[in-house]
Amino acid sequence: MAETELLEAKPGTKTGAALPKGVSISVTYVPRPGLLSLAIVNFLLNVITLSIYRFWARTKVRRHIWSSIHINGEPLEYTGTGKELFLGALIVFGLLIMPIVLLFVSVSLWFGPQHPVLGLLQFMVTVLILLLTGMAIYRARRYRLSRTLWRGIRGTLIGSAWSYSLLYFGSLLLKGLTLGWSTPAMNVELQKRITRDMRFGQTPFTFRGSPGPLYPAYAVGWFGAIAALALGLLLGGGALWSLYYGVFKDLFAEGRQGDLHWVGSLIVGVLIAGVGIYLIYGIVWTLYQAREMNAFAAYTGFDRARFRLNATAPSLIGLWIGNVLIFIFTLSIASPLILQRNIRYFCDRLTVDGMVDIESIRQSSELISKRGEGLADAFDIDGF
Amino acid sequence: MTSASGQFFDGESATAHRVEVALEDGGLRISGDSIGKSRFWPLRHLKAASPMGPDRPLRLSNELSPMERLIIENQPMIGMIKESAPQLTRSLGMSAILRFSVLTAVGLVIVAALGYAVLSMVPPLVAQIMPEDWRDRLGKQTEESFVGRYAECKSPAGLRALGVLGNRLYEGNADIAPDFTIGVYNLPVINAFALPGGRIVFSGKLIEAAKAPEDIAGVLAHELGHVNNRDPEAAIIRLTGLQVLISLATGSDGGTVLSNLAGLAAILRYTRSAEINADDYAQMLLNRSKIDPLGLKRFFEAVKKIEDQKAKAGVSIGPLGGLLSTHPATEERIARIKPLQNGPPRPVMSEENWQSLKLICKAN
Repeated sequence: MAETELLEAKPGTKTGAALPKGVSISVTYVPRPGLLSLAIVNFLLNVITLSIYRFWARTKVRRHIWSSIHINGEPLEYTGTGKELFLGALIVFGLLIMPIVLLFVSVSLWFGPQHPVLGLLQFMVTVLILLLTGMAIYRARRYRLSRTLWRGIRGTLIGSAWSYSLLYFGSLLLKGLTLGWSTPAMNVELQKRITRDMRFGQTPFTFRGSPGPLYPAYAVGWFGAIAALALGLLLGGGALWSLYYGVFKDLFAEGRQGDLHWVGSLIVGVLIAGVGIYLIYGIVWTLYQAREMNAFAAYTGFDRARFRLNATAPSLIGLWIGNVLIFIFTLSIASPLILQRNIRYFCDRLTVDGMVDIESIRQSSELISKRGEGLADAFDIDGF
Repeated sequence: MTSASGQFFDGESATAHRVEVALEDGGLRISGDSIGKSRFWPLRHLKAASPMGPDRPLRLSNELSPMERLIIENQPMIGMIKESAPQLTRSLGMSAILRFSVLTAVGLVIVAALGYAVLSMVPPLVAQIMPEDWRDRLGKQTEESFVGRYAECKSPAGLRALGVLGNRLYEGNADIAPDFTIGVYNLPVINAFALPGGRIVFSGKLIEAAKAPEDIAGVLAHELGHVNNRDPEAAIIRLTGLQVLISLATGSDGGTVLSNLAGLAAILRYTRSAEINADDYAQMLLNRSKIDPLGLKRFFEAVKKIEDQKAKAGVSIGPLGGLLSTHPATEERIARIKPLQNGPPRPVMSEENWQSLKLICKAN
């Protein structure tokens, strides 16, 4: 290997310290053919098996995409199995979904179908789900890391899923209480927690940075969103007002002589306005999203390397529009292509500065769980 | 060519080891200065660690030492290994496809059987063991939410006549008949149904449509059959379970969709065998009370005629919640109703009471 020359330590320099060992790291996405046909076969098998196959389908897609991510020329390897995902989902069904169903059935038989206690129960279940969401995210991440190998070494998360879950829940509450303004601080906190728990082999990832630089972009997003909302209310209210005075009054006055074409164009107008507001909303938040992704990468380190991500709002919006179009025009069948696009975007724009002493990375000694992602699957956390 | 150089990861560290790989005696011999003892990977335990592709290096793992990885770039060597270890290139074998299909089929059958069991067998069992106060409360709530919005017919004379009817049916059957209460509501349909807790609801239109007290007595006896079998309880339990499942699956509130009369008619649609059971039970009650069962028969025939005419005229009877929808008046059921077996029938109520009953929704 060419890099081995860099690995040579030079002992006996003037300071007496050995020159740090290490190689630079490059992450590239090398697409392989066959993902679309895999997606189609998966779709057919999902239909035949009433979606039970999805665990195996997801595993095959991950194997394909993982093997296209090359770090210093060596691909990642995904070692998870469909059976693990299936068992995880079964356990969540048995321990969480079924008891909730039974509770709802007995409570609505006991108090009746319209009793306020049902509303309370619904609220409690919602809180429970929010409480468990962080756990679902953490455990899914841990499962994927423990099934991701590079050079025979796997990753892991060493922290407690419970404490992350509490932090996540607390951050939701705080975000709500501060009308969103604590979002950058809380997101940095969450990212810090999970990044510092991350290991590749036994080597930890580091996270150092403050939410301060995120606030200008957040302010733009926040006020932009308010403006979009106000504009939406104005347009929607105006449309309703003119609908009422322009059409219904005529309807009553002239006896069903209202011009339906006019109603049609008004509805189309409202729809266009709605889509426009949605787009404005999306654009202002994507600005923040790009800022946050870049900051998180810059705050992250591994060994003596730091990460640099070049995410920009226009490119993210392009990515997102492409994804939506793929989703719509293939009726979601080609979702694996969307996953590939997202990961590829990340790989293409990621640079690693500094060196990593690969030779010193030891295998992780964490135990590997036998089941995966049950909660995340139940809550539909993400489409990985 | 039986050997080539390769890269080896020992699963202990991320260090890449240069190794020589030789194909020998049904396995791969891996040796190198930096890996210590040489490894022997039997061919039948080889697995592709990464999906394979033309011109790609072959990345192998070995089931016996699952953390070790071997990477070979030499294409002729890769070709030979693939030839010697056919499991690497075999995509889905027929046996795997067959096994997967069988497993899927078995799984689906189990799920279907479980679903069937949960929806058809569990509710009647739960209904049987349900405590009385649960049944009462459930009946009260159902009555309130489904028919509570309609005016209750309660002219004092009519209610008195209703009491006479109930007692008349109960008197010969005090030992077996379940407890029940009767309510008459001004519903926009001709129907009668039993709710949980022995609550029997008649529509005013049904009473108006009846030709004789025996018709009403017959319908009441039939509904008592449902009460006795706890059919309404089972139906409500089944519905509640379904609604919770639906609202969980869709994340929506499935609780208010069916809270109208048509919804109730859909819920209380029993199986053919449940209807026939209720008919048989009704006939037994009527026999023991010496009430002419032909009243029920006559009533069914009249209803069938109305519904047939409607069907012929192309009038949809779907959302009406009419008698046919909950009590399909089939030829078979009509034919099963036999005349009184033991002696001549006795009248159900006096003509005066009958006239009062007919006016239960009109007079106050």
